[in-house]
Amino acid sequence: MEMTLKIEDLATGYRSGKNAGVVLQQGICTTLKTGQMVCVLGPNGAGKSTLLKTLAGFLQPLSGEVYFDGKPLKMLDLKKLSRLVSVVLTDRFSDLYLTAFDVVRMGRFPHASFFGRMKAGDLSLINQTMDKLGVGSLKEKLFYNLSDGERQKVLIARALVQDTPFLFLDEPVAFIDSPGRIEIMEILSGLAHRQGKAILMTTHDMETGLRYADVLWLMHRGKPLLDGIPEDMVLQGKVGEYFQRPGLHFDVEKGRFRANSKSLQGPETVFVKNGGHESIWLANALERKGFTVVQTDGPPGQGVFVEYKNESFRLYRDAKPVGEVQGIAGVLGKLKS
Amino acid sequence: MHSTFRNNLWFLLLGLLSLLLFVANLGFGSVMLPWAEVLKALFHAPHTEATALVIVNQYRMPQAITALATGILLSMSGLVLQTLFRNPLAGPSVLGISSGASLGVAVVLLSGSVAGIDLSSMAMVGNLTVVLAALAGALLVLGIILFVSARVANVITVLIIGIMLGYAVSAVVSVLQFFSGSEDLHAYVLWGLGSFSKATIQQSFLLLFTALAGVAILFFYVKPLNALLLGEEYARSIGFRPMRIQRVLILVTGILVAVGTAFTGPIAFLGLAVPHLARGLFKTSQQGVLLPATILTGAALALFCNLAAKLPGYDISLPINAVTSLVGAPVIIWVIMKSRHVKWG
Repeated sequence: MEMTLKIEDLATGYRSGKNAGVVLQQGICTTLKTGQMVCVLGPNGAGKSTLLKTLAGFLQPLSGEVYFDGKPLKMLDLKKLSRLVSVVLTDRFSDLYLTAFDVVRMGRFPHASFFGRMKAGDLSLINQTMDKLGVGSLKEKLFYNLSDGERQKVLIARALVQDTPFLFLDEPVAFIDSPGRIEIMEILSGLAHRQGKAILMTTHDMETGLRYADVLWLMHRGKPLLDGIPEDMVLQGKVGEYFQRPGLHFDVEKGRFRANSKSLQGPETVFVKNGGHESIWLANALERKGFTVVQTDGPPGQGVFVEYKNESFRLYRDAKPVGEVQGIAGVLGKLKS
Repeated sequence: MHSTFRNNLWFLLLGLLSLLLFVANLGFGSVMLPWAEVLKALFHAPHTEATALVIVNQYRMPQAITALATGILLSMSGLVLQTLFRNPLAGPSVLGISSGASLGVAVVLLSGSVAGIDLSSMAMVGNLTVVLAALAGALLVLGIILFVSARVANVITVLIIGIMLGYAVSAVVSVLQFFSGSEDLHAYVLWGLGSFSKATIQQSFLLLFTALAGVAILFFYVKPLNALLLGEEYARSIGFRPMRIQRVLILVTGILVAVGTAFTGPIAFLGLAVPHLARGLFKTSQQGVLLPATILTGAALALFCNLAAKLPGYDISLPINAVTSLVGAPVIIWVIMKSRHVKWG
């Protein structure tokens, strides 16, 4: 069954007392549908978490309206909302004897009896979910003893047993190592695309957002929220514009930011012969050292040329061979002298 | 689950221990009575010695019931407040309620001499007056706390205001102490040392009734308390209203502590230490297990402390606060050592 979250002219921020408080974002108009993975992408301080907490009902909108399938958020009581939205937050809790199972179990509270008793079906759902996310063996482990990645999966399991069409996650892959990040993002995109959940996650990691989001919500303090598919946003220069900072520019080809120019010694151009992983990583090393790298297919010509052939790097200056070295460290050493 | 059996075994053991300690509290005291005489006195059997009747039924029985009830109500209040404020050092004293009770008692016992009339030496201040004064003082502070908690959004703010209120109230008490006569001061200091032997048998039953009513109410809050373990936002996301739960539970524990302190004076460390002992024994954070565990541990520990304070066989007895502190402080140190690698949120 398809469900839609509709946001109309929403302003988010913090109230302070009876004053208007701090407005972080205003005029937000967009939608989130089940089966969709939306990444809220923006630099720190853009108001991503505030938006997520407003949509989850933790914070009051400063103005505007949020509709869950046509029903205004403010008309939904917490019981009803707990059947619609589950969350994964950045809050730390570490009660001494809380096990991973205890944490996941709490996600089932909206379905449990007044005293918190669970039916056999609830317990088997908890077990299945934990197994599916690969944390089945951690059930009796204390939550505070788990690694960041394991904790995050346990928290996602907690949200999943709540069995809601909408899942909101605040920075779910911050502080997680890169394989763990991929694992979690694969889990989340599976939930959206195979189980039809509507997933909304904030991240300040552009790579994650560009790679996994069906739709990006670009945010920046003082700029309107933009939505669209990541590829269009990149090509229209929106991603570059929203993260822009003096001294940096957005490399559309690589989809990441780079420093404008490194004025180190040797602003030389190096031609690197295309082909193989070696040429890619050689370019990476050369760029770090401040060289301008030009990938080429052609034979050695004017200037410095490097090619990888027969398991070694061959260097040429003005088409004349000047040396042959084994690793990239060797190439860098040669270029220095 | 496999831990259920272990838990039930502990419940049984703690229950038996409490029962045993309760009986021991009736059997031992400064006067050595033979067990046969104690039993005869308990059941008002014919031909019981009159002194045994008085000692067992009018001294030891109310004292044991008071210890039992106070142990239960302070310990479970401590557990609830630790969960509510998510702070291992929260306890019945953090909301300033026992300080409020002290203020009430100080006003009654000390203000006479400040105003120039030595009330206590004129034997005008009775047991009931002190109880009512303590209750009034404690409820006054509780009222302020509730008033404040309805106006701030953060429960930690309530905690800090409670602690500060406690200091402010204690400051007023020290001013009263400074200006009061030595007899009144002595009476006040004695009250401040705490005692399970001040309550009459009727009062001890009232205390027990309060404790049991508290138990009944708090069992309805097991699920919300569990939900609060993950923090207020997670609790909201699974359908609970943290602010409402916090206010109700501050009210309930506040009344429990107020009534307890009114009859016994401030009792140190029980409410703080017992929940940690229970966590250590049962190795769980689940409130559904911890609540009964804390109740039974609290009952057993309070009865044990009372027995130890009586120094059976000696003519003198120790102030109960000295014993509870000696027992409680090491427990807290143990907890801190054990959880030093854990960040409490």
